[in-house]
Amino acid sequence: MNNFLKEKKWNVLNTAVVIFSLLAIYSLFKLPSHDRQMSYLANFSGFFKNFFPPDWSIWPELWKSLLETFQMALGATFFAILISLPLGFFSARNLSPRFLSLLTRMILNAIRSIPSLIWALLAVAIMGVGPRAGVVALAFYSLGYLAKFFSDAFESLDMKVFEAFRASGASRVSSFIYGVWPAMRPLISAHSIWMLEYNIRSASIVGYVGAGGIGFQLYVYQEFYEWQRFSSVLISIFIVVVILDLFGEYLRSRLLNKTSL
Amino acid sequence: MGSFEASLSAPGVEEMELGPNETSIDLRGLRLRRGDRWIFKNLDLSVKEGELIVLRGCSGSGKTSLLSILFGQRLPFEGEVKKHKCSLKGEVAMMYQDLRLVDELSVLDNVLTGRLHQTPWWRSFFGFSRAQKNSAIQIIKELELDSFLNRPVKFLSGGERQRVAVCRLLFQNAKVILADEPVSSLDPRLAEKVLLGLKREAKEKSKIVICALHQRDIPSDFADRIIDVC
Repeated sequence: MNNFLKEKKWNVLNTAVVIFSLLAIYSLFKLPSHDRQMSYLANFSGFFKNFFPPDWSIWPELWKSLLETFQMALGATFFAILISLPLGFFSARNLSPRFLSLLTRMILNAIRSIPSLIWALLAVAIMGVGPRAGVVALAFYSLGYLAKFFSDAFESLDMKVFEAFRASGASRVSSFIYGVWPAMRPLISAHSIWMLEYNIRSASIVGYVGAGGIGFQLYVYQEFYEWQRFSSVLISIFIVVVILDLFGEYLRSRLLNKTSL
Repeated sequence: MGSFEASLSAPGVEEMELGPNETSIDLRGLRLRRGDRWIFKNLDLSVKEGELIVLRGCSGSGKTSLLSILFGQRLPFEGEVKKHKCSLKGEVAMMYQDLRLVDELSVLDNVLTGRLHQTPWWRSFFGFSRAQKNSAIQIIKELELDSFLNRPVKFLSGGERQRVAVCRLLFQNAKVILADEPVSSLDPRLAEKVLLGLKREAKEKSKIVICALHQRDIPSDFADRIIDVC
């Protein structure tokens, strides 16, 4: 019993936490800093003062940009879900042949390794400036994550029911629809809601490189040092994100804990 | 282990005569081991249509393994399994001990999945037909689950879930019915109802029914043969 407890006390996870902490502290001291002696607090308060009071006279344009940002996120999430479902299925090791799963995983890894701003730059270069480029950029960016979440959800499922249906002579598609999909549906919906929230935050930033949405306004006000307007845009984004976060949390808890909405 | 070997080579089994269109199952010299322990050693068993066989035994005695082999699952056994007129998928129905219900689906939908093998893959997108639903509801009513028809099975008790699994088994309408502990969570009245239902399937519809049960007090007139497994 004592030996058992000793073994459990020091495991791989504990070792990983210690190594991670040591590396983090070491990196903090090793990162290059500015040579000049600066008063961080004075800089911060000086810069922060420029933000107040927020200028709400831009509300009509702000409202339009917020709506455009929301539409971009909605469109991007919709296309990402459509593409991620088959990709998640192909990538799941318990549902697809090994070579297909490996190939899909490699593609998804490649997609995830490109940040959303780079996707936005690519989309703007191909499609020109505007919110449609933002939709394409965010769709590509988020499908890398969404397909991975879906794939993990597929893999976490108990496949006994699917196998029982297959053994009784049901087709692969029928067994999936009745044996896997009902358990998957709440997970897929929860992940999709999370991705929508995430895309709203991302859609606020891709405008910096010309891919539409409220990010473009942020860029303009920053370029012209209009910090009071800049702050009103930031506050609006903050409010929208908080509301969506709360709503998303509510929806997710309903989906995962109860029968239906 | 030794007694199992002896009891399965029951006298009279070898001489069973079968018609050309009769459903039957024949096991010859079946051997299965789990680690260094023999589960079956030279097991012979013949069952013909209209027969109800009970495999009775304690936990770990190999009842489930035998049913799995009969169902056609890939277990590393040696010997011969011959199925006559019941070799196609869908002709053998199995009720698992762990039930394998879809928690998120309603009682009705779970029962309907018993006929999934008859549903073309494209048809699955549109649900089951009205006729299939009516027929499933009849079976659900017989096992007194009609008040839960549209309730997801994850909200049912163990006994209710077990009855849903029995309904699905019966709804599959297969030539061979394999039931692994179909009444383990039921009260005596419902257990009797389920067992009589299985007997009816064998006698009135000329099916092969093989049941694994751990209860010692099975009425002697319930089954054609009771095989003690441990």
